[in-house]
Amino acid sequence: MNKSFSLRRLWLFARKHYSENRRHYLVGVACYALVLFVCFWSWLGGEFENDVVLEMAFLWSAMVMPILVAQISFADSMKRGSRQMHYTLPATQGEKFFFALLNTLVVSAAAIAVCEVGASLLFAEVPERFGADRGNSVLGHWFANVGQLTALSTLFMGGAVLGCSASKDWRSKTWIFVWVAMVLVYFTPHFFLSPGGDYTIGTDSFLIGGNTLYCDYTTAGGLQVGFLTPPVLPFYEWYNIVVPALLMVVGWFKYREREIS
Amino acid sequence: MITVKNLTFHYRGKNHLYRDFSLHIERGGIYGLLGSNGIGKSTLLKLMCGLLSPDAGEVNLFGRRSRTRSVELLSDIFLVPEEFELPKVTLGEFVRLTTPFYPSFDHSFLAEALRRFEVGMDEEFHSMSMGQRKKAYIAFAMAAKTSLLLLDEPTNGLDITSKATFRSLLAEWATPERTAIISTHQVREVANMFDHIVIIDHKGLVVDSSVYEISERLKFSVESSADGALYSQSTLGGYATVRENVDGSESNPDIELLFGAATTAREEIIRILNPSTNH
Repeated sequence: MNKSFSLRRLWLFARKHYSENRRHYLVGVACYALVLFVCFWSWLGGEFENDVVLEMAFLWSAMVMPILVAQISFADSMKRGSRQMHYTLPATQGEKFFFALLNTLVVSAAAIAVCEVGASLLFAEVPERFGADRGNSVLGHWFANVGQLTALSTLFMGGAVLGCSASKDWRSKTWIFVWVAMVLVYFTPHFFLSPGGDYTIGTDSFLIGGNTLYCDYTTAGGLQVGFLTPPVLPFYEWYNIVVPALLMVVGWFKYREREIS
Repeated sequence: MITVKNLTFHYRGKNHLYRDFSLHIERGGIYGLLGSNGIGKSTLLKLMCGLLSPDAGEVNLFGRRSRTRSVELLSDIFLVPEEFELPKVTLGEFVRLTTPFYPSFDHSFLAEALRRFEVGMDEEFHSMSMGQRKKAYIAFAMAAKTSLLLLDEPTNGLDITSKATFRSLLAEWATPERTAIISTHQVREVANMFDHIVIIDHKGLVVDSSVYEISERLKFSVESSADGALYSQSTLGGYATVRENVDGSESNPDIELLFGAATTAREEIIRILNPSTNH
């Protein structure tokens, strides 16, 4: 018997998890589809502009999906009725946590990508078939927001992992931390860059507009770039990795040391 | 097999449940763990399987700290909590998904236990009554054939026939290599299964003796007078009493009376039964 880590046990644990939680995943997919449908329907009806609808899809996928997926991944260790069984199931703590962590990261990332690309394609392609005049290049919007999306979603993945791994009294502290970190992600660039002014790197110049840096490529028609792109602020690349990773590491210790009363 | 050494434990914001508590449980036999409500019986079971960690002292199983929750330990113990929630799958699917974790799992024992409990493999847990779920999970726990089986109020929610089935299955499950610890308030239903009785109260261990030792040192009888008894209860024929067995006569221990005596005449009972650790 492998004492610390066994791929066979990990596989057995994953199989058990997916079989026992398939209804949760189905409900998750249904909710997900419903939100997209509502966004799309509202947009098709002309109630919202492209940006607003895409921003809703963006926030939904980046902030809500990691929490939903982590809730399902860690469900057995959190629910009062099943956590004793979860913690006494003969697999190592490392295997159980590793599976839940990996599942949160992979499923959330896949769900976010599908949501974002799907929404962009849907909003760009489908209206033309309905004869609606809304066929702007919204896919470009998604690519423009990849930096922000990654920053937000990894932050929320880290927060969700820690929130689900730790005991109840840690959850509120975790989310306070995540919201503070999110505010920093969004607003700190304004402390580094002159508001409303130009920011120049090499031959490229940028303008700040809202949360976004606009790259003034005249030939590209003012294509947006996320303000978190590495050439602008390398610090953020590290921030986006270190903060979520830190939350996940703390999550592991909290999961391992958790007391089940 | 299980060594609880100088255990101190309290839940945050609450009084200590255990202070410098020690207990040793040998391999083999069925132990009855008794105590008043809120005294810490379920907590002790959780400490034994590593769900909780002591403030001080240690709880060792098979020579290893239970708190490590190592896979070797977990594959050789099974806890049936008083309340639990089973996944939304059929019993058959649960068996298929969970048995690979238990190397000694006995499928024929499970089939026989389910037959006697009248629980079907194709039934979904969520379509079962609470009693049915409990029977299914107890059958699964016994079939896992772990060295240590921890049962917290196993007969709660079982009907009369199922309680009898539970007793007969437990008798078949028991071997000199396997140990069951049953925490219960419903003493009468399982008292004749116990080989060993452990009674705890707010001060610590009161009784830690085999049923044989108890019958040797205490006398349980129905008498017309309760004078001088350690504990008594009025019955139709007079008084059911517990006394120190000074004449060497044999009597079957009545666990309810013993519990009453341990509550009202604690020091006397400790003196007579001389448990391994006094508090």
